[in-house]
Amino acid sequence: MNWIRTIRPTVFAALFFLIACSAETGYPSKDITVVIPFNSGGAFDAYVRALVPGLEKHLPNSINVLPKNLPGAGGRRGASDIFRARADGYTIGIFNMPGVLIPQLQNMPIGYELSEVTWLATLGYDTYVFVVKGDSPLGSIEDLKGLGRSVTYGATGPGSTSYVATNIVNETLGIPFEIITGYKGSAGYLLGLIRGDFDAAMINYSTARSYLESGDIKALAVFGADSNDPNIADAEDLGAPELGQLRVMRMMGGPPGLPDDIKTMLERALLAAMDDADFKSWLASTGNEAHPASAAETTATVLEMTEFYDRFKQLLD
Amino acid sequence: MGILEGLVSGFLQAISLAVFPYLLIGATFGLVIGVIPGLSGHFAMAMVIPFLYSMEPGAGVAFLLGAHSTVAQGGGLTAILFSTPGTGQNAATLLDGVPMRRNGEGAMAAGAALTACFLGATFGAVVLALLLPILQKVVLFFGPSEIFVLAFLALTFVAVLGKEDIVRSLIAALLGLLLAMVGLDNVTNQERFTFGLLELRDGLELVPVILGLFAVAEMFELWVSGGSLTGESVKPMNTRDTQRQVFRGMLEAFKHWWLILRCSSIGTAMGLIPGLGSAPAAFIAYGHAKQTSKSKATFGKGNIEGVIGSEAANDAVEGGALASTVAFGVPGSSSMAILLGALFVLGQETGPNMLTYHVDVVFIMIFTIIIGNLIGMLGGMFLVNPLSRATGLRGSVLVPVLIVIIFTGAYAVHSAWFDIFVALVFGVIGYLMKVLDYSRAALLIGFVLGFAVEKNLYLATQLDGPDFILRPIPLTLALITLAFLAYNIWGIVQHRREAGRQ
Repeated sequence: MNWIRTIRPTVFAALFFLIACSAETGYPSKDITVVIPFNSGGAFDAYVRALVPGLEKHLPNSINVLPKNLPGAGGRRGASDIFRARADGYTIGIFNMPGVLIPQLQNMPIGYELSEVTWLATLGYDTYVFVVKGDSPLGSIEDLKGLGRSVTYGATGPGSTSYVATNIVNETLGIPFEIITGYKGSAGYLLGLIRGDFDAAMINYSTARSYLESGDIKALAVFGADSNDPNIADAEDLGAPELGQLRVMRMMGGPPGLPDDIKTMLERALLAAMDDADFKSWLASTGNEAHPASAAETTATVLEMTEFYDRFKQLLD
Repeated sequence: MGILEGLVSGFLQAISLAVFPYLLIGATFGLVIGVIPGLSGHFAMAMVIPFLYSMEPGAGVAFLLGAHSTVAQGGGLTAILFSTPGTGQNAATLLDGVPMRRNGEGAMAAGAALTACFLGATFGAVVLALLLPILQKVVLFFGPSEIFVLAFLALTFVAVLGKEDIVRSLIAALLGLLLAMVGLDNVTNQERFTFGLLELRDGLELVPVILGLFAVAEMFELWVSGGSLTGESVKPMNTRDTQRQVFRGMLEAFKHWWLILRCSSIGTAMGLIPGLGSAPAAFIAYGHAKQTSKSKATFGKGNIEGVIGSEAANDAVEGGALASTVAFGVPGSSSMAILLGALFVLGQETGPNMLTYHVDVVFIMIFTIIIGNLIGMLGGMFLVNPLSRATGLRGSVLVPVLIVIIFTGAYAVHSAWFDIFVALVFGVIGYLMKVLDYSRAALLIGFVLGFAVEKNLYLATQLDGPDFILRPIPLTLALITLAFLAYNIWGIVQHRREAGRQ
């Protein structure tokens, strides 16, 4: 084993050199993990993975960015994993708002505190559409009030975003209602609506889009964006502008206390990646949208959303 | 795009140079993943997803579904040759595949399994193609009350599987039902039997439970009994004899075409109904094969019909499961949930958009399933020989290696350490059940269907009140279930009487 002994000093020297090099160039010196609190596949996963090449390009030192799926407990498992990670910038992740906000306001044991998360950027949002079956005689929100009975809605489970949104809209607009829970996912209750199980539903636009186009369902109202269709009301038209807050946000954040220089570097890289031609061509070819927002804007939105849902605290479950 | 136009375009795309190479690579990759115990179709698809961002939709779909379609074929080989199911779906193949290997007919069982898979998958895919014009109506037909009754019907198959010892089977099935209750009740939002653990909030994960019950338990047994998988009585065969056996097995599968047709129908139907899952389909088909066989007594002792029946249903499931995925974006199985996500990456919207404007993509899926399984069958034939050589290895060499791979598979589903623990606990339970002669199949059926039964019962009563069962379709289905159950109970009584006379 003489040869090992011969090359040992060289190997040590090389290792030392490598370590010295990486210490000199600073963050990032190793791979960055992006936690996705959902299964592979699905909108959250797809956005992050589409963003990864751009992120690698716009971060120095040609490190890798590794997406990691940590599904479970409606996104809470992944969120608490990001929250508990070391604040060194090598673990960041994507958050589903208000999906992870609602359990926090319900004082569930969650393992994170959203006001302490170091927010980095917003990727975009999904609006809510108030839909009925395509051939339904109901043509407007006013028609629902004149029904003379409780309007029935479908949703996944109590405390889910769709359930909470349905609760808030109906309470605010003063519509008598009843929610049937137990459907699996938004596609599950969308199918129930088309089958005629219940009268109406609150559903995110990206799931509803192709069924709206085919006429299987029709929209009576939209929340989280302005309507430019006279047949579809928006929050302003309904006289309840606060309902415009009902959106599902895709936000990037890191553990509490992330150093400012690392935070700024990650924020810049994220915003640059969203502006990258590759990401944009993916968006264009798949018909998806991004609505980038800076770290400061994201932090402000989180505060706004927390206040908004806190006002409806008694409607969360 | 019309359906015929879509069919032609889909076929031409599937065999074009831009798509077929991906299909070939995908199918080969899936076969290898399937052979490795613990790594299932989810894993194969999840590995493929990162490659999709730069691919054309047709090539991406073929790559992804190709990788998924052959996993069950590879898994069947592992089930027969190594006594551990390569994927969860192949657990039913153990029942007769393993005894066949012990009788020195392992290669024949493998050949029959590969062919049954191919024929079953083709059946499922053809049914999907035939249903296309009325696909949305078919999926809409199954409301919560219908699914409740059908899930209940599937549950009664426990009676067929455990005819010899009905009390033990019922205990196992009820334990399965109980385990299904763990987790968040999505009607009342209450946590049940979670002991405050966040890990249990979503319930027990199916993959580690199956791996524990069947794969880990087999490893324990092999460890305890010592020796090798083949046993001392069987001499290793030379390559020519092995290959000859494989061909004989394939021929046998074709001879049992009527059985394959029936078991494939069961698989396709179970795939079609969201929530019933693919894992129980093979067991139910096995139960059906046993019930209708002329030689019931040899089931469990190495009857080739048991292998053919369960493997045919295994791959027929996917055609059915694609139906609700394509028509409404409601995944018919857990793998289909991943497919749905991957379609999002490729920018393909399921639902009316796909059925109206991209019907060719649906046909690429259909042809991918058929061609992929054909590749899997041909590729699998060449794997039988080298794999069967490894079965001669001593248990003390094989077990540590396989255990590591199995636990990796359990971890890989959700990157959760907790799932390794689940697999280990269910390994102990599975081993005890095997030693004490309780039906693990009954437990699995109870576990998978318990959730579907409960959830749909809840939804049906919320929607139509307690009399939902009196509406025409649920009532008809309920009467069929009762008749089936009565027939089986009568069979059990008959069986007892005969046993008493002897």
